[in-house]
Amino acid sequence: MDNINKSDELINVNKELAVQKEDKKKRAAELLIANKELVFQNEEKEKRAEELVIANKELVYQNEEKEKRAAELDIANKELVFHYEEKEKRAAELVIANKELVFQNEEKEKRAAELAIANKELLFQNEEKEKRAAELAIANKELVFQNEEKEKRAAELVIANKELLFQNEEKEKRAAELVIANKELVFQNKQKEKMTADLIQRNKDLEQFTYIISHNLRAPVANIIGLSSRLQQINLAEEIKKQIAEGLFVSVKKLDEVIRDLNDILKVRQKVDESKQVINLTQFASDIHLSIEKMIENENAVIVWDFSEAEELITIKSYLHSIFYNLISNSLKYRQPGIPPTIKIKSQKLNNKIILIFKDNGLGIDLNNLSDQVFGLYKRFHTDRAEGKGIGLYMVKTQVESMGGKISITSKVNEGTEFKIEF
Amino acid sequence: MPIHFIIIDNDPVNNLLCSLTITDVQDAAEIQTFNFPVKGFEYLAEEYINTTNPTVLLLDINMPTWSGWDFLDNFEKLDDKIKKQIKIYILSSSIDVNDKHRASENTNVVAYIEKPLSEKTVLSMLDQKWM
Repeated sequence: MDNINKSDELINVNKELAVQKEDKKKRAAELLIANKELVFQNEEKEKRAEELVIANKELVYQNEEKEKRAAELDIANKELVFHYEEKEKRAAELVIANKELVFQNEEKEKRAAELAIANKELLFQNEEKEKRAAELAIANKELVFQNEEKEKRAAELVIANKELLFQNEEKEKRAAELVIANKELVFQNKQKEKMTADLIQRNKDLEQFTYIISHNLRAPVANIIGLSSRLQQINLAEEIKKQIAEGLFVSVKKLDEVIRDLNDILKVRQKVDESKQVINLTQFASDIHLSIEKMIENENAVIVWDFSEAEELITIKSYLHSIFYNLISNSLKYRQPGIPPTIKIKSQKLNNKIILIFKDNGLGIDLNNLSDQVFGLYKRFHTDRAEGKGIGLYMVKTQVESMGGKISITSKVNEGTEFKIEF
Repeated sequence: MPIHFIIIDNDPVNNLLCSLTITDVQDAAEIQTFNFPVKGFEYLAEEYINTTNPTVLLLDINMPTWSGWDFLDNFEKLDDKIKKQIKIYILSSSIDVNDKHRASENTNVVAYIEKPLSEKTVLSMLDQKWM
């Protein structure tokens, strides 16, 4: 078998090799053509190489350029990297900032909401204000008007003020004049008060005189009228004629007495002409004692004095004489029977006042609410004792008072009487 | 007709004159004079208590110790029996209207007579009605 297979195979391979020789001939034709093609291509390629050299050179240049460029780019790249990093940092920062902004945004939204409310409120207020402004505008106009009025008024007041200033000055002048006039009036008033007091006293005196005239002066006159008319009767008995004549004589004498009394009283009441003088009381008392020595002897009286506390008195001498005389003779007149009359006179100083005290051991008077009447004119208290006229103490009081003094009495029946005179 | 007269006055001349005038009008008149009002008052209080003795009393005003007014004040306090017997006339020299007014206000005073006492006045006193 194998050899049949091998001859088939060699026929096959020879065939194949015949095909392959044919193919190689085709192939050589093709290769020739291809060769030619390759020569052409070669030439083309040489041309192309030359072109490539040029192009290469161009490329080298370009490469160098590109390297330069690359270097530049590298730098630029680094720059970009840096920028990038910067941008990333920035981005991180921006993220934070963004968050912050978000927060702020929220805040702003809240705020905006609030502001919206506030805005509404403001809007309302604004409207109110506008209303108010409108009102104020009216009020303003009113004020402007009033202001103008006030300015007019102010101008008027300036004029009025000047007028008042002038009047004020006039009034001050007037006030100064009034002050002077007032002082004058005060002085005159004091004068008038003195005069009034004087007049009141004089009025009392006049009342007293009226009384004296109606009683004491008219009493003897009435008697004289009655007696003289009786005298005209016919057939009067001698005895009665004699009684009438006696009565007439007594009445006329009485009339004369009253007139003399009135004269004495009026003398004291007349303006005090005699000036006051310093009187040494001890000397004064001695003088009086001497002048009534006989009377004192007759009454067996003792008069003692002590003026050591106040030795001197500034007064009207004749008045003081009358006072001493009347009080001493009063004490002697109303002495107690059987006891030698003793009169003690002394002076005292009390609160700038000088006091004279006359004290006796006489009958005394039951004053019993009558102390005012003791000094009354024609008042008598011891009618059964001695024939007093009721004028002595009245004169004393009148004289003391006309010198601005005061007199008072204290008395006890059967023990004595004390007169106190304050100057 | 009363024939009793009491004169209270410290002026003896007046008392004489009154006595003369009264006796001229009524010769039989009994006249009592007192120079001191107290004495006159005491006399009334003692003597008139058991009597019926219509009496005219002439009273002066201005007298020492008791005045006529003092006398009247005391008289007022006397028993009515006594007072009934007495008709008081103020007999004063005073021509003072105040005295006259005061006298007119006193119920015990019949009238105010200015001195001197006249016969006509005495006659009018005697004409007074007595209880």
